[in-house]
Amino acid sequence: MSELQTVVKEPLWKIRIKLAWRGFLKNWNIFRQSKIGMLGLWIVIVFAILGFVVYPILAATVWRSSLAATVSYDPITGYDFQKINPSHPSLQHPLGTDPIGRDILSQLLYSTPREFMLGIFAALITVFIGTTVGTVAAYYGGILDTFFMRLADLILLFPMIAFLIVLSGMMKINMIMLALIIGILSGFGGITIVLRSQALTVKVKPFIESAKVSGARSFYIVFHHIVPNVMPLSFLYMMFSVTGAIFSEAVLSFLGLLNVKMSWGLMIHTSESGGYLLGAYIGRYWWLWVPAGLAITLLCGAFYFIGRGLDEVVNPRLRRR
Amino acid sequence: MPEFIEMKKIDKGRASTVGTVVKVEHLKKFFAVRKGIFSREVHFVHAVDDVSFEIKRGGVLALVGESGCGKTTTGKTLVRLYEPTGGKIEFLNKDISKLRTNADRMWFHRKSQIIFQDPYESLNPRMTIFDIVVEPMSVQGIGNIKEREEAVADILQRVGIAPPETFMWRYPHELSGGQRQRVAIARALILKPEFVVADEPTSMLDVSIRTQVMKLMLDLINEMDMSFLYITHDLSVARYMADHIAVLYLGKIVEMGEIEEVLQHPLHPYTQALISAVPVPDPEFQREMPKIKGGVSKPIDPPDRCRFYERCPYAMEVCKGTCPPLIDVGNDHKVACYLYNKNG
Ligand SMILES: Nc1ncnc2c1ncn2[C@@H]1O[C@H](COP(=O)(O)OP(=O)(O)O)[C@@H](O)[C@H]1O
Ligand SMILES: [Mg+2]
Repeated sequence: MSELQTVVKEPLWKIRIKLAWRGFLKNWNIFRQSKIGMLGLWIVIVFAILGFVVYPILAATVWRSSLAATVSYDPITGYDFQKINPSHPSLQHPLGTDPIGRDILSQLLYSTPREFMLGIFAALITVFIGTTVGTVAAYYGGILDTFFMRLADLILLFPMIAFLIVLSGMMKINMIMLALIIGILSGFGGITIVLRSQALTVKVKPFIESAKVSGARSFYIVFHHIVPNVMPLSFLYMMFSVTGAIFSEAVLSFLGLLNVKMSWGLMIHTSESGGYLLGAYIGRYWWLWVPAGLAITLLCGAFYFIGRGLDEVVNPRLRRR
Repeated sequence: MPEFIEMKKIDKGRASTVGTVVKVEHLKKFFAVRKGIFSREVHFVHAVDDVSFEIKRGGVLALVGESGCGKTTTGKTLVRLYEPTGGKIEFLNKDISKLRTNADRMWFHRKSQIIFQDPYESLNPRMTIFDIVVEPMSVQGIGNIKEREEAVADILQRVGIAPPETFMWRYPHELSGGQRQRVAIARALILKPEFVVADEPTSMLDVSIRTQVMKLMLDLINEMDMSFLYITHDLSVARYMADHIAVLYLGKIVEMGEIEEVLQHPLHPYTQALISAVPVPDPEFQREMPKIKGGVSKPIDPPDRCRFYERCPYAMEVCKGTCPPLIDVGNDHKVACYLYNKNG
């Protein structure tokens, strides 16, 4: 017995961190093989650097405005009195200005962190609810299961954008509320069906019975055995949820239905409502909508691509050998 | 015959007479099934149908029979994975279906354990060996971190997963089949249970390591003075592991007794047929044993007659009547057959 006391030389938390790191490296090496996943990751990294690093630096240096200046780069209250707005891309305004003289690049970069937050916050809520509901429904079965599955069917058939449009007529929706609404609604939606069916295959494994024989309660079994086994799939769905949330925000802002000061969708809305996207104008004033449109497409696509890459980590059968 | 049968057995007389750990009386477990998706009729699979036996402290009872005859169901009912349809299970003189308080249930779960057949499915693939083995302690809230680490290291060492520190933080898929089953054994034994159900624990292992794992279990049973219900379909394994045997056929015990007695003097035609199916090393030797026809069916709503009637070479008129009762023919040897109970 005495020599056994020295068996565990390191504290447990250190070992666990090492294990997590080892697991991460293993999955990373699989993910790396996926070209589409890596493309998505790079796009996300570039956006993150632009939004979280480049914008604050620019805003504090070259874009810093004084009250006396004739140009302000503020994305919301900015102006440029020396130009006829909207003005073409130029040295002062690499992506031009919008109809009221605000710098497009500044608006684009300013919105980036907000789009990230919205997407990730909504996706976290979705995954949290989806995982809990899916595993609990699978484990307990019965009425609970039937109820949540019918609810999921309902939400799947539910026109989310239409609902949000109606809702925005009744109340002012800001970014955080939007993330909450999208997160909660899609949390009870399709994701629960997928995670439930995964949880059903875990539920019948003998290691669940082993735990029961030791006296484990249902709560313990759900959160110690079933959730960890469906977690990779949850994580995968999280990426798709980010895409969904960012896209919904873009649509609603474009329609001018959100109570937000600035976002990619709103940028397009501003030029659209100013009549700059009508007929032949759409080509002439391309800088009013191309940057924001491209940003929406790229970031949505990027998270989707990451999801596709993760799919290969989660489903070994998809891997190319 | 496999080589282990020739190995010297360890202390076969260990089954002391001091007290009964498990006592099963008229245990029944039926499963409701539907014949076809649209059928409203409910039928019952009589997986375990009126089974009685007891296991003494330190004793190993082998439960043998073909696949589908209800061995796993019996084992799972004994550790409360299934609620019995009828009958009584007494564990250390307590009726386990009457464990009302949480403390009582935890007491039972602390003292009983199960080892499954498939070591690839019985360990959570996302848990480390440490977390798997320590689970009974953490679920029961026993010991602090230090004590748990020591207990895991100790039991891993005892089941031959050594040195423990090189295995503790691995995942099940990094271990071989034999090592996994040792881990499953460690997990089952970490709380020093009084009663363990082992459901064909070596049948999925390579033949080369079966003997080692069986020997390990036998050693541990002796050291820790546990009682085992050892489920197997292999009579030579039963003979190696157990001191008593119960032969199950379609949910009924057809023969039961001290293992050497039953194997030397099998009375029931089904037991005789099972024994004749065991390969014999001497090709000259021909056992005079009945050949039985057909395979096991499912005992769905079985009629009240001998379950072995259709396959029995000695089937008589009386066997079509009621199910033969299990009667003692002396030497604590019991058999359920009208061949030995003509006046019954
Ligand atoms: N959960 C269940 N539902 C319905 N039938 C079952 C279930 N479990 C076992 N059975 C049936 O009960 C009988 C006994 O099965 P089992 O105990 O697994 O036998 P063994 O372990 O001896 O192979 C079989 O006919 C099997 O089909
Ligand atoms: Mg079985």
